[in-house]
Formats: sequence, structure tokens, C-alpha cells
Amino acid sequence: MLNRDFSKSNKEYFSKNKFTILILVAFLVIGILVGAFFGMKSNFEIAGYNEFTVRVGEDSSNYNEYIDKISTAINNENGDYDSFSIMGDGDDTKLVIRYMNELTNEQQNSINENIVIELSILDTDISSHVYVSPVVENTDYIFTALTIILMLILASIFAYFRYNAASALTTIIASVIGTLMFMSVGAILRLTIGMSYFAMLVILNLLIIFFAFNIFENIREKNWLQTDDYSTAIDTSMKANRLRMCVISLAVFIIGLLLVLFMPTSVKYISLNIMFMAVVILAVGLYVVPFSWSVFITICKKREVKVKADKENIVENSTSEKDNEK
Amino acid sequence: MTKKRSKCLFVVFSIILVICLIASFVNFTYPFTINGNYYSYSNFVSNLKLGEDIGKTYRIVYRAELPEGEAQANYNNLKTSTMLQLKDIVQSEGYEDVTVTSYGSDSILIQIGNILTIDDENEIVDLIGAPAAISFSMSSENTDPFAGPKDIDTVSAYDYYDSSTGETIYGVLINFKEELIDEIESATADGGTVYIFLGDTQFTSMDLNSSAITNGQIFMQSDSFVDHASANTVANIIRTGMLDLELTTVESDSITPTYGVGSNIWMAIVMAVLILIAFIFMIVKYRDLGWLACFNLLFFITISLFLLQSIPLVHMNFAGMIGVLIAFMFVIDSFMSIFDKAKEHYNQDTKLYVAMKVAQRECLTKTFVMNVGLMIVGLICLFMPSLAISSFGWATFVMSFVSIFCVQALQRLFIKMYLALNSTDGKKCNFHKGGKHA
Repeated sequence: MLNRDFSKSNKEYFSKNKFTILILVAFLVIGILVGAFFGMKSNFEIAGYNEFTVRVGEDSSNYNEYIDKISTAINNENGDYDSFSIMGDGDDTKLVIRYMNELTNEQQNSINENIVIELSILDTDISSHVYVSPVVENTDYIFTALTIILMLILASIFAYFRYNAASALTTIIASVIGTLMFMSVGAILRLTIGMSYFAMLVILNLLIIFFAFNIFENIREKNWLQTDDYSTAIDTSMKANRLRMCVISLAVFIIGLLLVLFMPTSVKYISLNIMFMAVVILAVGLYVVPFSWSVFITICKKREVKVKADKENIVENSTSEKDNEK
Repeated sequence: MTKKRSKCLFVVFSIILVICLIASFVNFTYPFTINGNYYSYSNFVSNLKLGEDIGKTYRIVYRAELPEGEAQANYNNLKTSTMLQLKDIVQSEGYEDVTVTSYGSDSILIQIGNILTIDDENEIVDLIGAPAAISFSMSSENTDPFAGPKDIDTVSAYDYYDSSTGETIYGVLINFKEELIDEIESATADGGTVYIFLGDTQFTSMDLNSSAITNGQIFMQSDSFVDHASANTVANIIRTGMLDLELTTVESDSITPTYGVGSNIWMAIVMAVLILIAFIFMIVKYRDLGWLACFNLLFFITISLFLLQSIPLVHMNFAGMIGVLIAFMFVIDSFMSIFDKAKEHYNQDTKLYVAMKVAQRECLTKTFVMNVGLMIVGLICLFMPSLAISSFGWATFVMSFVSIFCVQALQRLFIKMYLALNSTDGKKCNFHKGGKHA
């Protein structure tokens, strides 16, 4: 997997692991590029939506039939159309149909006509059709970023004091790479995101920090750092934590899978995001954390040795100066 | 602890657990009457305040029109400020899960989640159902009013205890803008009666001789103010009538979740399936200890449900539900940490009860730090104005406390009770000497 020969220089070290680095960098670059060009697909909460309010009379016995007809009308028209919700009101006399505003005018008109045709068969009355602006505010993006940054600052301070500088740096890097990977997957696969996506980003970082701390805690517990055998340290720790990381990731994956299977269409793509989150946290836990830690611990130790040597030189010099003065 | 005492404690905790489970999941009518009336009990789950994405939502559509004399060019700015003010009004009434959006070119849509009962719906209709512009006039025909909605600074429901009559007086306290105080006082200097109109209808009249207006403040009274809530309703009508745009109610109704019909039920099914999988995993992996963990997890679930439904600000939307599941996973991980550590010690030829005690001691800091970490994350999130993040924050913050209680207190007690019954046979916990696994 990773080559962690700490006797080699940094240059050699990077060349030995160039394949892993290449994959990570490629993932990030592609993700950022795709994200920049296409962006993620937003659901009705972020993009706004068209709302059809349809009166269906007092009779609620055909309620499910209406829903089926409308679902068919929307889905038939546009294969990749994925975010709509159909809501009945309290006493089942009205259906509120929402669909995103990310389609072209022609597509929207076509869908509208389709719904009208389907509903006219059902002898209903379309009472209104309006565009509703997004629910999500611009500040939501800022506060999500702020939450993650605050979490990372606190986590890295904790890691610095409880473990070491390498662990603190690894926590930050793992979180940043994990977040970018997660967003890249969303952008590449054009997954739909909604308001819950913000919370998902926070959860993702929380789990990455949790995985990283489990690994660091194990290294600390076994006093591996005092032996300077970093390679064995990280390998043993990874071995001890691998099962737990897999179980937790699997649990997250199952949450996503169950939601995909059971939840209505409007939530399916949010649920897919949860499934990919499981894959990302596992990848970060198994590869990014140990790799980053190995790199940072080497740099930190080399720096430590250098500082120590410099200090010793200063002490030696001052002692010799004093001797000379005497 | 003796075996007998341990068995007694298990029986007692089982009875408590059954009561907790009934309180959490069962609705029933009390088998006795109070003053001849039957009362019913509503369980914790049905009392959870669901967000608009997975729960019932109340919505009101207002047509927003420019007041006379305002330029059309200002419409969008005034609409934005009106939407912000409306959101403040609803949130000040304790409804956190509210979204206010532009609805078509000339309307505003307000959606409020977390509605539990029909009473609440009525409360919202009263809250912002029919805004009306207030006006004060010396004439019963409302000719030439001396003050209107734009002259008011603050409005609030107010009540005080009148010791002379022994009654509580309810009313609405209105403060006029400071720069208009002199003008209002000169308009009312001759005394008489001030007529207060809400829209075109006369709401009440007050005798100025009893110094109804003093220092630019009027305490509005009416026979319809029978309690604080009725006064508050009128205060809100006045407040919405003071907004930058003139609002007219177009429609108000309740709708099923925005994530689709039945999303709350499916969410509950998903959670139940996941909990079941977790239980099976723990039992298969740790046998007796797995059962013990499941016993504890049931306590964790019921205590969490109790807190989540009883704390006023907690609202459960999709993100909150995911937060609950994450917290649940953290608890299972804490149990796994303790059991795995015990297994490790047992493999090294340590006796079971020693292995368990050492494992608990060694994992104490780790599990505590983990839950405190979750608590801090929850704390950061719950102060964020983003609805999804704050909901996630509330769920994790509340559940981290329950997690600490269950992992640090209940689990220690249950293990102590279990060790009194089995302190030697590791096989019952799927532990094997020398590292062999079943």
C-alpha cells in the first residue's frame, strides 16, 4: 500500500508514493474543475422551484392515483429529472407539486403541459402555478464553512496538545482533502444537493476527525513515538482501528442505502450523498490519514532533530567561549 | 455485589425499561376520569417536533402590495425587508423552523414546521393570519386619523395585576415614535375619546380623560382581551400591519412534508432497521455483553426521545435525524471500545472481571473525550442560523449528554451487575484465551 521507509529523504519518499499522491491530486483537480464548470445540482431548496397547486376536490380516495399520475408525467418527460415533491394538504383537497427550476424554459413548459394533460384526465382544477424563490440563504454557505473551520481549529488544537504537531496537521489536511473529495464526487456524478448537504459536510468532518483521533490515540497509548519507529507505529494503529473504521463507514453506508430504498424521490439523491460520504470517510481514514501523518511526522522529527542539533551547537559554542574567556 | 442483588437489580431495571418504552412509543387513554373527563396520554415519539421537510407544515401565502405613494422601483427591497420582519415575528413566537420565501412576483410564502396539534395551527392563524393597519382617530368614522402604523415604534402584549380589583388586566402596549410624541399629544390635548381601528373596523375606543396616552405610550384595552394570548394575537396583527408592504392573506393551510408524503414514516422505518442491525451486530459479536449493550441502548433511546421532545428549541428535520443516528453510532463505538479492550486483556490470560474493570478504566478518558467532542460540535452547530446545521447541532448536543450518562454511568453499573452473575466464563462474551475467536 503505502511505502513508509523513514530512512529515505523526502524526495525519495514522495517518489515511492507517487501513485497514491497522483490519485489524490487527480481526484482533487478533476473534482474542482468539474465542480467549477458544472457545479452541483441543487434541489428545490437551493435552486427554487415551480409550484403547481392543484385542487382535487373533497374526494381523497383517489389521492394515491393523483400522485402516481403526476410522478409519471414528470418522470416520463425528462429522464434525469430527479427532484420534485408532491404534497397533499391537511384534508387531502389539494396537491402541491414542486419541481426544480434548473430546466430550460422549453422543458419546464413541456412538463407543465404534461401535468395538465394527466390531471385533466383526472378531472381536476389547476388553481395556480408560481415560481418560489430558494429557501436557502446565502449566509447558510458562510455559516457552514464557519462551523467546519471552527471544528477544525478546535480539533487541531486538541490534537497538538494531546498528540503532536504532526497529528494536528494531519487532522487539518485529512479534513480538507475529505471535504474536497466529497464535493468532487458530488460534482462529478452531478448529485443533487439540498439543505441537508450542509449538515452532511459537518458530519463528514466530524467523522474524519473521529477516525484520525482514534488512530493517534492508539499510537499515543502504545508509546510508539518514543521508539522512533513510526512505520510500525502507524501500521499497528491502523491494524487496530481498521475494523472499527470499516464498521462505522458501513453503518453510514447502510443509513444512506436504506434512505435511498425507502425515502421519496426528493430525498434519494441526498441519501446517495450519504452513501458516498461513507466511501470518502473510509478512504480518508485508511489512506489519507496514515499517509499524511507519515509525511508530517518525518518533517516534524527532522525539524526537531535540526533544532536540537542547533541548540547543542549554541550550548557548545557558548561553553567554548566561556572557556576561552577564562 | 451478590448474585441475588444483581438479579433483583436486573428485574428492577427491566421494569423501568418497559415503563420507559411504553412512555416512548404507546398512546393510551387513562383508565380513570378527572372531573368526569377522560384524558389521553401522547407518547414521546408523537410529541417530537418535526421540521417542515419531514413533518406537517403550516403555510400562509400573503399578497404583498406597495403602500400608496411608494415607487414601484422600491418593491423588491421592501419585499425583502418585509420577509425578514415576518421571519422575526414568527421566530419571536418560538417557532424556529420557519422559512419565508418570495412566492411568484407579488406574494410571500411563509412555511412553519414543528406543528403538533390543531391548537397550534389556530395559534398561527391568529399569529399572522390577517394583518391589519392600525389607525387612531378622534372620530368614530375614522376620519383624519392622527396616528397610523408608520408612527408606531414598538408593540407588545402586556398585563399587570390590579390590586384594587384583584384582577389581572390584559392589553397591548403601544409606544409611538419619539419624534411624533408632541404631535400626538397636541392632537389629543382636548380630551374626549380615541377610536382605534384595525383596518376599516373599529376595534376599541378609550377615554382620553383617564390619561390613556401618556409619554407617547398607549395601553390599549378591550373586552376581547381575556388572557395574554388574546392580547398577543392583536399585538401581532398590529405588528404585521406595520410592515413595509401591505399584506393580504391569500391562503392558509397545512401540507404534508416537503420531502414528500410519508417521508417521516419512512425515516422512522430506516432508523428502526438501523437500530435492529446494530442490536444484531452487538449480540452476535459480544453475546452476553451484546445483550447488555442492547439493554443499555434501549435506555439511551428512550431517554433521548424524552429529552428531544421536551426541550422547546429542539426540532427534528432530516439533518437532525441524521445527527441522532450519528450520536447513536458514537455510543455503539464507545461500547465496542470497552468490550474490545476487555477482550484484548482477556486474551492475555487476565480473568474476566479484571479484564472488564481494566478495560473500563482505560477507556474512560477516551469515551468521555469522544462524547465531549460531540457535545462541542453540537454546541458550535446549534448557534448557527442555518436550519439544517442548528437542527443537527441540537440533536448531537442533547444526545451527547445522554451518551455520557449511558456509557459512563449505566454501562458501568450493568457490567458490575453482570460480573456478579458471570465473572469467569469469557466464552459467554465471545472472549477466548490466547486470541482464538469463535
